Amino acid sequence: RREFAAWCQAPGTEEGESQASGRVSGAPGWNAPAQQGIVLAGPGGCCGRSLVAVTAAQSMAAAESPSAALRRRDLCSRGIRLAGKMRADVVDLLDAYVEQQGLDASASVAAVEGVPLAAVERWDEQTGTQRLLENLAAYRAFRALLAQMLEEQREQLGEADAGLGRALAAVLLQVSAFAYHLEELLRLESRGIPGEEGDGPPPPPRLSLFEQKLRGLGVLRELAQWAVRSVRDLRQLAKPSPATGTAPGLAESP
Amino acid sequence: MLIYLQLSSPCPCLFSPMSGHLNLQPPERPLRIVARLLLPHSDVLSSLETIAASLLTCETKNHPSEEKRKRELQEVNLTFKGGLSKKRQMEVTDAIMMVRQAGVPARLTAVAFQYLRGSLGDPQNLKCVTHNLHKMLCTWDVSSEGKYGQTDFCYTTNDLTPQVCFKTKERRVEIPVPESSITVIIKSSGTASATKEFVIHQKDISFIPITPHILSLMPDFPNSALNLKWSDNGSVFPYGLDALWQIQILRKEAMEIVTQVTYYSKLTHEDVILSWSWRSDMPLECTSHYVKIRCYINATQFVGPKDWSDWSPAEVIPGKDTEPGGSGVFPLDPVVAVGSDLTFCCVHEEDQRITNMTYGSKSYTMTQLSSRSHAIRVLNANVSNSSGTNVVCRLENGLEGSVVFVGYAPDSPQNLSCETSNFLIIKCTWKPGRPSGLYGDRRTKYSLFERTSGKNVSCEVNEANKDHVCDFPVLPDQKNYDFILGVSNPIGQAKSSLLVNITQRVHPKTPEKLTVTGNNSTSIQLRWFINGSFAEIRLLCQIEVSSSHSERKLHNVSVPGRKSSTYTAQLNELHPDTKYQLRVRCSAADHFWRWSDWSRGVEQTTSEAPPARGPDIWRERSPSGESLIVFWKPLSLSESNGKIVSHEVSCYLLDTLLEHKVVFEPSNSTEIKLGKSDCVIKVVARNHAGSSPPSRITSVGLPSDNVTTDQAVAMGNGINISWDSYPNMTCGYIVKWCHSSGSEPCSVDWQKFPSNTTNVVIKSVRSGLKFTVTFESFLHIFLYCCSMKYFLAALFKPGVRYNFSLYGCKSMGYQLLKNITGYMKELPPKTAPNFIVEETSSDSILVKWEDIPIEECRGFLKGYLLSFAKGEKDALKPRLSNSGNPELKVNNITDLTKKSMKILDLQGKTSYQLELQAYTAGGIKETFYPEIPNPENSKALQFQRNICEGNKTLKTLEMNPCTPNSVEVVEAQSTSPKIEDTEMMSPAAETTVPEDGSESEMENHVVVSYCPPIIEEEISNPPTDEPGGSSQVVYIDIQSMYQPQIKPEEEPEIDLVTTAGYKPQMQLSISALKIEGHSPVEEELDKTAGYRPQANTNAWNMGTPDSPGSVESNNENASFGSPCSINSRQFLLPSKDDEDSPKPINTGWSFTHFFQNKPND
Repeated sequence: RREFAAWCQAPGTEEGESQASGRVSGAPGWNAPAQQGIVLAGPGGCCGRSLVAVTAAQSMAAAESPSAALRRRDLCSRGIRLAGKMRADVVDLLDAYVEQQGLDASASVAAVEGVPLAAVERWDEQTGTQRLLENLAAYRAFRALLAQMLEEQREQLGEADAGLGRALAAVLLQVSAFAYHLEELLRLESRGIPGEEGDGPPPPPRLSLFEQKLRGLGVLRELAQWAVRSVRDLRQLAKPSPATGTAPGLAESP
Repeated sequence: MLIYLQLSSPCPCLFSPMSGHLNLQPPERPLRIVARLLLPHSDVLSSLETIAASLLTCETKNHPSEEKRKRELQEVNLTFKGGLSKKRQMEVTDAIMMVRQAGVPARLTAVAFQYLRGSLGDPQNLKCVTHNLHKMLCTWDVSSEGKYGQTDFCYTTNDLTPQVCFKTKERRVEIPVPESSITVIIKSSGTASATKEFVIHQKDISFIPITPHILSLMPDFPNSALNLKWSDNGSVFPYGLDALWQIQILRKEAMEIVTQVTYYSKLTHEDVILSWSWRSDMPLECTSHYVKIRCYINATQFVGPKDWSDWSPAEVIPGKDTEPGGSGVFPLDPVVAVGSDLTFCCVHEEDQRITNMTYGSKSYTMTQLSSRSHAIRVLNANVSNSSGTNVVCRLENGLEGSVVFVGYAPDSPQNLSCETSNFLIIKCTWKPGRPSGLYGDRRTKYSLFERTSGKNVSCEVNEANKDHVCDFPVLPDQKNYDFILGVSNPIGQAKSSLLVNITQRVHPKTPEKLTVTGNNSTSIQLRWFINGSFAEIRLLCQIEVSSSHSERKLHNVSVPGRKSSTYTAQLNELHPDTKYQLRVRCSAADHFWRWSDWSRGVEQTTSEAPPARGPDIWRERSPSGESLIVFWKPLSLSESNGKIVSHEVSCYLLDTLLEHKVVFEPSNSTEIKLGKSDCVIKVVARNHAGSSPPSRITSVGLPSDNVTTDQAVAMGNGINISWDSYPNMTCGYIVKWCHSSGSEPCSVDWQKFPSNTTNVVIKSVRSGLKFTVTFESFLHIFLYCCSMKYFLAALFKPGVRYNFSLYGCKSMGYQLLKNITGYMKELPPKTAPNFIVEETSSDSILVKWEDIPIEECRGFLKGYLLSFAKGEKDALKPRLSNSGNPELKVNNITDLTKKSMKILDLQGKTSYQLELQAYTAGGIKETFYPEIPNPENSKALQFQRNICEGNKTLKTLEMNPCTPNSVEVVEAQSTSPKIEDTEMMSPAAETTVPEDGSESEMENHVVVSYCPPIIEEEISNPPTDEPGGSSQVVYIDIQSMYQPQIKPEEEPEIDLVTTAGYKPQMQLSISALKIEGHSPVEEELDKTAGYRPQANTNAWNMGTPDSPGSVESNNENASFGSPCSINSRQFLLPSKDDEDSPKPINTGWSFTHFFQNKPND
C-alpha cells in the first residue's frame, strides 16, 4: 500500500514520512528523493504544472467502497471497449496509411522515440497503478505524435487525401479520450495524475519526408500494439482481487 | 648529349617546340601525333628506345598496385645519352604507343623531353615564353662546368636602345617581349667561360597564358548544380582580346571526366570575375565532383606560337560518400517535372551492403559510384501520387529513402476575369488548367499583382474548385486595374494579365428583401435592397411580372446607385384582381456586364375594379309569351376585373323602371314577368369593386313572315349557316341555338354577327374554352387514357339535331329571319321504323310504318328500304341487299311522306321474310363494333362545361383519376331503346357475335376510362326498378309461333369456354344466369367474357326471358343484328281457302332483352 503514498507527498500529511520515488519538480517544497515505488516516466514527473495532490490515498484505497469498485469495473469495461474500437480503427488506418504513403507493409521500422514499448517483460508482475501510468504515458505520447502526424499530413497533402486526415483525426480523438479515461481510473484509485509536460520535449530534428512516413508507420503500429495491451491491462484491473476484494490488481508487486 | 625524360604532374600542356615540353593530351588523344611533333629533335637524342624500354620495365617491375604504380610513374626520371636514327624514332613512337596501350594510367599525361647540345660550357638552347605579352621568361642550358657560375646577360632590342646587362646566377631571366626581335648575349663565367649571342624573333616566343585560378566553387545540392567563379586576369592584357576558357568536370575518386565545356569571354583590360554554372544529372551528394579550368587567349597581334595555359588545380565538391557517417538516398525529397530522367543514389556505410533500390514499386539496376555509393537511373518519370513516390534503398540492416514528387509546372491561368459586386472587393476568377499533381506545401500558389498601385495579394484558392477565385480590395480613387495573376509551384511558373475598368465590371449581388409596399387595382409598388456601394454608377433593374393568365413581362427600371441601400419601383398598367409573381434583378446601367441573380419572388394580387364592360345578353319570350327570359354570357377574365358576384337586370319602359332584379352567381339567366308589354333590358355585372357599364337589349320581337327552315350539315368543325343579305338589318344578326344535354333543359347559346355577314360557321369547338388541370396526373392520363380530340369540347355532337334561329337586328327590335336544323354529322338511324302488316290477302299484304322519332333519326332521313323474300328465317340472310336469293325484292321508298306500302303478287301459303330499313346520309348501320364512347361522358374527363350561357367564366376540366384496367358502365334510365321487333338482323351480322347495343346505347353509357379490358360492372339501373325504361319490342307472327320453347333453366348449359376471346358483345347466358340469382358461376363468366366494354346484361330488362327470339334463333348462330335500324318480320301467308287462319295481331311477345343466346345446346 505504500505505493499509493509514494506519489508526491505533501509535507505535513500523515504519510509525509514515506518518500515518493517519482521525480518531483515544479512544486517547491515537495521533496521526493527516489527510494522505492513508481518511477514516473518522462521529465516533469508526476508533479508537473498540473499536479494533483493526493491525500490519504492509502486509507481511501484500502477501504474502497462497493460503489467505487463498481465504478472502477464500469470504467474498465468501458475502457476495454474503447481500446477495442481504437484497435480496430488503428488497424484500418494502418492499412490506409501504408497504401496512401506507398510504403511496404512489411517494412521494419525502428521504435518510435518517446513511446514506451507495449511489450514489456514481466508484464504480469506489474501493479495496477503501474499499468495505468504506463498506459497514460504511452497514450499521451501517442496524442502528441498523432497530432504531429496530422500536422505533417496537412502540410504535405493539403486538401488531397482528406479521408486519411479524417481517419487520423478520429484516432487522435480516441487516443485523447482513452487518455482521459485512464486519468479517470487513476483518480478512482485516488492517484494523482502525472502532470503533462509544460512545453513538451524539444521539437524533434526535422525529418526527411521518408523518415516522417516511416515514423508514422511506427507510431500506428505501436499504437495498435498498445491498444491490445491496454485491453489486457484493463482486464487485469477489472479482475476482483482476492486480497482486498475491492481493489484488485493494485497490490504492489514484490 | 643528355636526354631528359620527365613524367610530370597531370597537367596537360600542348607540345611547345621552344620549351621542349610535351604534353600528352588525355588518353583518348592518339599519342602518335604527339610523337611526330617530337621527332624534329630526335637527331640529338641518344636512345629513346631505352626510354620506352625503361617505361615498360617500370610498368612491369613496379606495379604491385595501381595506386603505387601511378605514384612511381610520376616520379620517374631517366637519363640517356646518344642519338636516334629515323628508324629508331619510329620504333620509339611505337614503343610509347605500346606503353600507353599497356595501361599506363591516365595520370601519366605528360612526357617531356629536353636535350642539351653543343660544346662544353656554351650556353645553348635559349627558349623564351611569355604569359602576359609584356615580359617573357627566357631559359637556357649550360654545361655542367658552367652550371654554378655567374652569367652576364645582356639584351638589346635594336640599335637605338642601349644594351641592358645584368648578372645572374640562375639560368632564367625575365625580359621584355620585343616587338620584332631581341638580341641576347649570354656570357657564362667560370673556368671555361663562353659567350653566346642569340637573336630571338617574336615568332620564336611562346605565349602561354597564366594558369587560371578558381576563386570559388559552390555546390547547390537541392538543384544538383555547381557554381564556379574565377578571375580573367584581364588587367595584364590589352583591351579586347578574346579569351577561351575550357572547364572540365570530373567525377568519382577516379576523376572521370563528365563534361568539358568552352566558355568565351572578352578581356577588358580589367580583372573581371567570371562565373559559370553547371547542373549535374547526378546529385552532388552521390559522389565527389571536381572542376578545373584553363585558358587560351587569342592574341592575334602576337605572331609567336600560342598555347593553352596549364589546367588550374582541381577544386572538389566532396560527395556524402566521403563524409564519415554520411548516408541516405539522394536527392532528398525533390520536386521534378513529369518526364524527367532522374538519378538517385544511396550512400551508405562502407561495411553495409545494398539489397536493392526501388523507385515506387519497381526495382532498378544499380551502378556503383564508389564503395559507399550506388545509383539508379529512372527515365521519363510519371506523375506521382499525392504523397509522392518513394525511392527506397534497402540495406542489409536498414532502410534509407527519399520521396520524390513528380508533377507539372502550372499552366497559364485561362479566362481570367475580374468583377465587383459591391465596389469593395474585386473578385477575380480563372480556370487553372491542368492540375499540377502537387499538393500541400508544393501546391501551385497564386498571387494577384496590380501594376498601377503596386499592390500584391496572395490568393488562397481551393484546388478542388474548377474555377479559382481571388479577392482584391477596391482601392480609393482607382477605376482601372492592371492585374497580373502570377502562378508558381516548385516546377515552374506562369502568369496571366488583365486590364479592367471596374465600373464596367459590376455584377451586383442578388437583390434582397423584395417587398410590396403598396398596390391598387392596376399598380404595385416594390422595394428591395442591394448590398454594395454603387454611389458611382447607375443601376438597371429588371422586374419580372408574371401571372397565371398573362405572359411573363419584364420592366426595366434605371435608378441611381447608392451605398447599401433600398431601391423602389412602381409597376403600372396591371390588371385588376390578378395575382402577380414578381422578382427583380439588377446590373450596371451604363456598362452592362452581368445581371445579378433573380431575387426571391413575391406574390401580390391587385385589388378588384368594376367590370370593364357589360355582359353579352339575349332574351327570349317564354312560350306563353307572358314573361321574358334574359340570358347573359360570363365576362372573360380580362373583362370581369374581379369575381362577379351578381348580375343586375333592369327593365325600363322609356325611363320608367318596370322591374329590377339582382341575380347572384352562378345563374346566367333570369325571367321577367312582363306580360305582353315590352321594355328595354339593362344588365350589369357586379363584382366587389362595382358594376359594369350596362348592356342593353330590347324585348321587342318584330313580326316575321315566311320563316323557312333550312337544313345544314357541318363542314369541317362547325355548322355552316348562310342567309341572303337583309339590308334593313342595321345592327347585325344573331344566330341562336340551343344545347341540350340529356335530361337538362335546353340551354340557349347565341352569337352576334355584324350587318354585312351572310355566312357564318358555328363552330363545334368552343374556342375560348380553357382547361385548368388540377391533377398532376393529367399528363399521364392524357397519354394513356385519352386522345387529344377528347379535350376539345365539342358543342355539337354527331347524330344530334340542332335547331338554329337567325335573327336580324333593327333599331326597333329583333326579327326572326329563318330557322336552320343541322347535324354536326349525320349518322344512320338509331332505330328502324316500327311497321305492321295489315290487309293480308292470298297474294298481297299492306305494310304500314310509323315515323322514327327525330332523336332516333340521327340525320336527315333520306328514305326507307323495304325488302322481302320467300322463305324461313334465313331467307333474309346474309343480307337482303346482296343476297344470292333470287326471290329477294327491295323497294326503295324515298317519299318520306309515304307511311304504307302494298306488296302484291305474293304466293299463297308461303312464308316471307320482310324487312324495313330507314337510312340517312349517314347510311345504314354497318358495324357491330362498339364505338368509342364520347369522352365528354367520361368520368375521367368531366368538363364543367359552359352550356349555352354558362355562368362560369372559367371552364375547368376536372380530372378524375383514371381507373385503368376497368370500364365502368352506367346505364341511364331515361332513354332505353324502343325497338319493336322479334329479331334484329344487322346487315353486317356475319360476325355472328351478339350486338350489345352499344350504338343505340351510346348515350347511356358513361365510360370512366378507356383503359384495358377488365370489366367491373356497376349496375345503376336494376331492371326491376325501371318499369318504363325499357322499350317494348313487339313480335308479330302470323302463324302465332310464339310459344316459348326455351326455359331459363336450360340456358346455363351454354359452353362458357367458347365465349372467351374478343367479344364486343355480351353473352346472353350471363343475363339469364342473373335472372336466376347470383350463381357462383357468374363471376367466372364475367371473367371469361373477354372484352365487354358495354352493357351489363342486368341493365337490360329481362322480364320475359321466354322470348320468341329464343325460338326463332333455334337454328341460328347466336347472333344479334343491330337492334336499331332494321326491323324484320317473318310471316306466313295464309292460303286463300284457309278460313281459320289467324288474324294478324298487333300484340305479341314483349321482351326487354333483345340479346338472345344460341339456344340449340
